[in-house]
Amino acid sequence: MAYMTWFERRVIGRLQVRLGPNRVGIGGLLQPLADALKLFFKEDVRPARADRILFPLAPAISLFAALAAFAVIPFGPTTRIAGVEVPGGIANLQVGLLYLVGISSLGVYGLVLGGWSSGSKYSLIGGLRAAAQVVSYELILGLALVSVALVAGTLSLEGVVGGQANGLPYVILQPVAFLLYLVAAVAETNRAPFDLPEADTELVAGYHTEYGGMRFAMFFIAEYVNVITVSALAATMFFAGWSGPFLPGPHWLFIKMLAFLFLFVWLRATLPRLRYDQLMRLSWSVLLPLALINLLATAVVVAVTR
Amino acid sequence: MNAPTAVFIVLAAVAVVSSLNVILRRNPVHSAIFLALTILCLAGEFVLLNAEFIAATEVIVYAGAIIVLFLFTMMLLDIRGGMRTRQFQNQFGLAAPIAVLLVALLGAAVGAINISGLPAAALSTLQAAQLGSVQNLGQELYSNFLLPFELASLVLTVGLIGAIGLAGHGAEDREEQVRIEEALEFDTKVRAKEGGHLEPEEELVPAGGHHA
Amino acid sequence: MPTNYIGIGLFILVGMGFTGATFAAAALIRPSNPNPIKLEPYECGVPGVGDARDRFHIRYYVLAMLYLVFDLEVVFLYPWAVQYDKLGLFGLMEMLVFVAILLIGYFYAWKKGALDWV
Repeated sequence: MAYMTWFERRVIGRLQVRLGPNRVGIGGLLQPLADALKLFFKEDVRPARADRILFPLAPAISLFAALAAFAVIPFGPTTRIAGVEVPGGIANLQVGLLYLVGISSLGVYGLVLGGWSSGSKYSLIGGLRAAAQVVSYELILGLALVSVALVAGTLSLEGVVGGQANGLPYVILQPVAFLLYLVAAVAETNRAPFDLPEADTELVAGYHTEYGGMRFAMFFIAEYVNVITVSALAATMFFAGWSGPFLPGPHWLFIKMLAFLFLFVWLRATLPRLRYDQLMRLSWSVLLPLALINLLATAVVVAVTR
Repeated sequence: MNAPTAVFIVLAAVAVVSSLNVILRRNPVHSAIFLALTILCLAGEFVLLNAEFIAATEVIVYAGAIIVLFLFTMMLLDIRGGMRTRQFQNQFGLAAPIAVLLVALLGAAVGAINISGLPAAALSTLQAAQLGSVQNLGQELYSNFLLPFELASLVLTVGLIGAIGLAGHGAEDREEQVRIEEALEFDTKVRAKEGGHLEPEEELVPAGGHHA
Repeated sequence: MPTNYIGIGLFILVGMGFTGATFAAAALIRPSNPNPIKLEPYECGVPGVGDARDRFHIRYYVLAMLYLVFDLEVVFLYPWAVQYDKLGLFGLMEMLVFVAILLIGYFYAWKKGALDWV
């Protein structure tokens, strides 16, 4: 997880024809560790105007929601060990997809509370923007996932992978839903080119302007954990997750996830940031109708073919 | 005491304490966060009852959408001013009879349930899980409860149109004009001040508070 | 109680524990030398003007309402999607009616300019 920062800095370095961090440890592999240690020893300023309870709570909520979401991603098939069913992940829920959507909607609290409790204008504007953006794109994410659930006929992530292991991966059956998911996922995690909540040219650092030390690190880690989760979910929902030839399950999931992580970094290195009104218009006036049309078309096709 | 009972007691205790906090906190944002905690505990209780879909819906709709709506609404209000006034004490005379009525109603509703008539005790865990499954719920909702389901969309649409009406987008153009005038006035005020230093208590913020 | 959730419960507890422990550890080892200037909100080096907890534009309220409405729609879609095979064409029709009614509100919002953010 921490190595995501190293991965990102090295890849962006390469993309910008420079090296990236390569001094600490072999190839810079110890850099994240050094960063974490540094952040541990940083003074943690709590501004005089900040809310005493919510200010430290907000990053904790962010990190907790990010971590909890990962629990339902299946790493491999359910196996039987000594007569007991062992799920190929932390848990296989009947409503795994809903669990993910629910937990990710809790992540909004971290942003909006972090912005509000700081008592700084930049934080407040950043927090509100972040919340507005995240909720707008959550709808798109939800609608894209519903289309897949319609094809799969189940909300269990293991069921979704099982449906693809015996047939085509859903990226072929649901290409529009995949693209919608991809855009929404980048926006959900507040990554470039949708990183308006922390647009440093206008908002300093958005909702975490006033945060420092370990509290800042919590927000930071939460962002990366979210990126990893949406990558894993993309691999699971559209690219058959852990199933694949020759290698055992977790390896395949990891390879597919890594491809998405690379895509995230690549996007950040390539695309300029959107303007806020463009961002909102894209979600409400373009993607939402598109998602509904896609869902309708899927429903009609499913009704005809079955 | 078995494990589900223990989990039930812990969740119920947290739910009760945090729901008390919802009404006792003076800061409405704190109240909203305690409300979210209460809802999460309730979702946990639904999981104990094998109602996974209801639990997930509880989190998505209440903890997700509705609390966000509350938070956004609170940020429209003047929270500092609201915290200073002790408005709740003024409404005690009205609130007390309503509370008594509500308790009586709840008591009557709980008393009316024939517990021995419920099949829950006779169900095995497997049957209970099937009863609360998404498939079963979908089947019931989209056949036997079709009318309430369609009516729900009507209620939602009315709510949405009401919100847009409240926001008064028809007056937007006039508002915009006022805002521009205010900004110009602010600009001249700042220019007039130039050279001299600004006193910190001077309010040089355009009225209306339109950020973002 | 569904046994699947034992894993989730443990995972959530571990998540809380990790977050709490990190905070506690950081609180123990970091320095703390506050002074009034340091505790001011960030303002690019000039003295700050006004209070941050100001009132906000009402469009955020409308947005939250829009989100609530469509979030509920998505929640209603999940059990429908799972049971779609059994519901058949009738299921398609009833969902069409449901979405059509919601779209009235959506187009009203569009026409009234609630979706414009300039």
